[in-house]
Amino acid sequence: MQRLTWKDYLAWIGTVLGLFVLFLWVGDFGKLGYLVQSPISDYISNLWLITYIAGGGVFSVFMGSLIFFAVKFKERGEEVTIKVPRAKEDLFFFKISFPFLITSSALLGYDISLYLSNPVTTMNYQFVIGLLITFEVAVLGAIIFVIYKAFYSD
Amino acid sequence: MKKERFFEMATLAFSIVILTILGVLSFQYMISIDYGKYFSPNTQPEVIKVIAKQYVWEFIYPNGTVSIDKVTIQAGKPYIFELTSMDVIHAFYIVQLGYKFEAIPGYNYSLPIQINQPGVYDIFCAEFCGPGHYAMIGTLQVVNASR
Repeated sequence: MQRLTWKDYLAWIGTVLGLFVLFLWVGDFGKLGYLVQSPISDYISNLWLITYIAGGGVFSVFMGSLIFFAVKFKERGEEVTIKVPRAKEDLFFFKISFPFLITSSALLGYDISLYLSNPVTTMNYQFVIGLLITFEVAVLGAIIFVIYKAFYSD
Repeated sequence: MKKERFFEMATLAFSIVILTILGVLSFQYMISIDYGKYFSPNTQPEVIKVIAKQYVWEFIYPNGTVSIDKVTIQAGKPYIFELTSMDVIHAFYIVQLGYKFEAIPGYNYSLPIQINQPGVYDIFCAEFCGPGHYAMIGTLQVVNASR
């Protein structure tokens, strides 16, 4: 059985802390910048800060451990690569769909970041943005399916 | 105690502590919001009636003035919004306040409110109330006390 050394423990803690900082950074360290100055919004802000930091703790411990264990205990047996000839149309679908996949993923990410950065603006255009996200998810799903079929054609 | 057991108990203790803190704070905050406990004593809040109907917000000031989709209040002054609905269930949602309140036909709910920062804020309906739900948008204007 492989035992963990102090270096492993350091790497484990480092991964967890890294993910924790990343989580906080993504959510503006639990601050809701768009709230107005009011006792009610102060209450909401306090509760959100505690919830966000606690959520970040749970996320980083579980995700950090998962990543650390996946890398540390990865199967390192002898690798054998078998090259299988591909049908021309499979590669064609793959080449066509790849740019679409990247574009729709980027658009989806942009939409989500737009909402997280300023929900007030997006609330005004909620119908249009909702429609856009629906189409993007549909396109993303369809392209993922095409790529999947390109690799697992049987 | 074994290491595994310790970590297991630690996760339980962490959850219990966080949820207890959140629960106690939420309860205190809810009481404070519901009864306007954050209003400074000896101040008499002004009551503004808010009537929700498909697809407008109607505001009635104490002097009887009626305003549609727009309400103006003074910064730092306490108010009570008395909410009700004329038709279906709506929800009075001020995004920048981070708070929403249900407006239900036949019921009157009081929402004590005090905003200290002048500005123009959005009011949305946060309960699907019909095909025009998305257009049920109002404005809350907070002006300086001197105006």
